[in-house]
Amino acid sequence: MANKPIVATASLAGCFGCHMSLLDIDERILDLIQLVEFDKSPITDIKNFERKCDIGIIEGGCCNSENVENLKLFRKNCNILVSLGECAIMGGLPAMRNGIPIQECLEEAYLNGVTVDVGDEPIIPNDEELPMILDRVYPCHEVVKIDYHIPGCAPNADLIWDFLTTLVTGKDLELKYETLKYD
Amino acid sequence: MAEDLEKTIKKVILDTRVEREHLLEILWSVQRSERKIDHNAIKLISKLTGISTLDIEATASFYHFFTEEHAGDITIHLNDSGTSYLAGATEVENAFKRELGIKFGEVTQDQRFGLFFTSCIGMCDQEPAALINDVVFTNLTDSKIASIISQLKSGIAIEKIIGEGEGNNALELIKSEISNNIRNSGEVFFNDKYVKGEALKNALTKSGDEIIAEVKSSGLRGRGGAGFSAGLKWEFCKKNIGDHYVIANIDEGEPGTFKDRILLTQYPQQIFEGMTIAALAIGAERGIIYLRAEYKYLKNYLENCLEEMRKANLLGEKIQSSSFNFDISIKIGAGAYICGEESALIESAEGKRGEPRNRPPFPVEKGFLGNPTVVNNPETFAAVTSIFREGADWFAALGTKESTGTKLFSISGDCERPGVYEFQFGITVEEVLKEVGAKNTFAIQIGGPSGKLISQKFFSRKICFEDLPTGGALTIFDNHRDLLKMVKLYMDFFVEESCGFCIPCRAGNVLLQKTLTKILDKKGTKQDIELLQECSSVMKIASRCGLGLSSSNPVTSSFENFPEIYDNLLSKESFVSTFDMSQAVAESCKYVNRENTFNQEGSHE
Ligand SMILES: Cc1cc2nc3c(=O)[nH]c(=O)nc-3n(C[C@H](O)[C@H](O)[C@H](O)COP(=O)(O)O)c2cc1C
Ligand code: SF4
Repeated sequence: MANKPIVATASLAGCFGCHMSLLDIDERILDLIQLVEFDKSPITDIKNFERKCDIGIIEGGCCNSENVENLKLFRKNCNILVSLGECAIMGGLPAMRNGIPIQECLEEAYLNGVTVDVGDEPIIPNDEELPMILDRVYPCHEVVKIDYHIPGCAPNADLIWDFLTTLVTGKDLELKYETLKYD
Repeated sequence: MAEDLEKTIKKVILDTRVEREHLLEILWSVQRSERKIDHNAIKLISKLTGISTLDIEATASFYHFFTEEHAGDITIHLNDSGTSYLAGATEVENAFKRELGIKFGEVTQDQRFGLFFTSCIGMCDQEPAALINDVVFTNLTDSKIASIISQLKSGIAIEKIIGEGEGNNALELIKSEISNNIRNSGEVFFNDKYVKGEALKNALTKSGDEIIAEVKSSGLRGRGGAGFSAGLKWEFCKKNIGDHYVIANIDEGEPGTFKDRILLTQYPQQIFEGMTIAALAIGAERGIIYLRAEYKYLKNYLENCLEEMRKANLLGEKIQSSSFNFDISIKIGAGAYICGEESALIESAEGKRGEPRNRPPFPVEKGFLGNPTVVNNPETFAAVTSIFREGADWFAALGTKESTGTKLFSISGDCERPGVYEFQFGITVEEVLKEVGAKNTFAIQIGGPSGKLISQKFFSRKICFEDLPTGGALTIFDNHRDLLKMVKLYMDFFVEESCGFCIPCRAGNVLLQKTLTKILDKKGTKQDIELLQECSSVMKIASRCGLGLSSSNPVTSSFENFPEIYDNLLSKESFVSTFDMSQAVAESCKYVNRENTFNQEGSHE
């Protein structure tokens, strides 16, 4: 038991779809926990790193300062760091705002957007507890060293399963055509 | 205002008939008079021509001399290419900013001046150079700019403040301050053997097939870079059915290349006569000069040369009392390097976005307006004229077996005598360096950015298609130059000039550019080198046209011949982050008025 690799996961600027896909391995999750142990993760609801982990899995890119801090924390506490899915690898949908000035983004979201409730006096949130939004959405590998990239939006459950099991057992991963082709 | 604009547009339409192929001319007339092409103007053009607004907008937005926003009554375009940087463009850049109080990409508040960068304008032997409302200014210095701007501010006309040009540049019809810098004499071009009409009269005694046979036996290969047999191209074209066309490709946009400008300035008749001989051979009645916008200052002069040839019955109807009719018109581009690629050039000449076509069909099958078309470099046409004057055997005896004749070389960079030279094919790089007075040469970019960066071990090689092929541009770097910075500047050029149609080129050039920046910032690692190589090899296989197929050459050839310029800068770490938190949050902190307490790493100071 003590020698099982320890896995931590996080969702940064993502939609939790990659985590949902991880859960999509269905009952194989029972096999998986025979192979690995989950630590800090939304799945376990463990909030802090209490010990060094073997594998860190990151969903989502970095759109604000907190994402960056989180990612750096994962890099510091995990031996192997993995970008899971399009947003972590390339910024994904959130990166569609790249190229639009911050002011325009914030005003569209909080002042002028069609979903802004006109009854209230709309404001741009600026509590000091809130992280700062970055000039653009960054893929994880521009901020820290990433060891593996698992493609997909979201990556197919089988791919995640194959990846984790081969990583843990030290075999070579065969990326099947269907797991890489999306149309 | 709107009425004036309508008049301006109508005048162009009346002059040219409303046909799609004249759209660029209409857009130029609007840009020139309004200093912009905004949506209102586009709607008006659409109303008057019947071309859809979307189509007009798509076309206008392709060319960088057409602007949606006001570009200033006086629009300054400073060349920011590699050779300009070698000659001190940074000082010149600062002088413009200081004198006008604006940055590049901006227009003064009163809209009198607009300041922009542009890619190579074909003046590499007299850089730094800029275009000010189509007028070329060369050899710029800090004090020259101060004087130019103060004169312009006091209302003196641009044409009045230029210096004296050399050779035909001093003619009233050109009146530019440009130098030709022709540095030697030669057998084919740089001599006074040309007699107007002699070659054409000779060709008129032959049939089309005989003319083609003669061009083939001369061994003449295209001078635009690829070196395809001119005779073969004409033969293919002649075989196809349709209204045949002859086009001279005077887009000359490859940084470091400017020899076509000299031919145009001093020997345009030889180009026109060569085109006429090509027309006679393939059975064309119409020829087109596609002239890059940067050379617009030559237009009136060229029109006049054409008119003189018409008067001498060397152009027009029943040429030299034969049954042969042929005439040439001039079309002006609007700032896009890709329009030098022959199929993109044809699209642009048809008044569309200058995007390359899928090939096949090649232009010789379906070219201008779907008709069989010969596109050649002007030097190729001028060489044809000499062949029909002196004979194919005479031409074939010059140069080497596979590369006959002489070649015009555009020489720039670190040497005593930059300019244009005529050498026979087969000359060694060493011999060229000696002729041009280059000392301590460390590297040469041969054939422009899409060519190769060569090291001393190539200097004994022969310049010809069977050894070191080139379109004739040599940019010389001596041993105090930062080569990797030059490579990066070349990639800046390709990022700017990629037409964006296909992904390997659109994204690949940006990836190469960003990775080089990272390496120059000493943040590159071994993995970045692998990325450069992988990305280059994908681009060389998967790009749609010659631009993307060759734009990684500066990277691959510099890596091959000068690996140390990369190695010296690489970090020993396996990863170096380029992310800078303080910079990344600067904009949002400023907007919500919060103090930016982050440092580069992301901790709070
Ligand atoms: C991106 C690109 C730019 C080019 N620019 C020019 C040019 O400025 N002038 C030129 O003659 N050929 C240029 N070419 C080559 C032309 O496509 C074509 O091969 C040439 O005009 C044919 O003439 P030639 O056989 O006489 O050389 C360019 C090609 C590419 C791919
Ligand atoms: S290779 Fe570049 S220039 Fe050529 S079609 Fe593709 S994007 Fe356009």
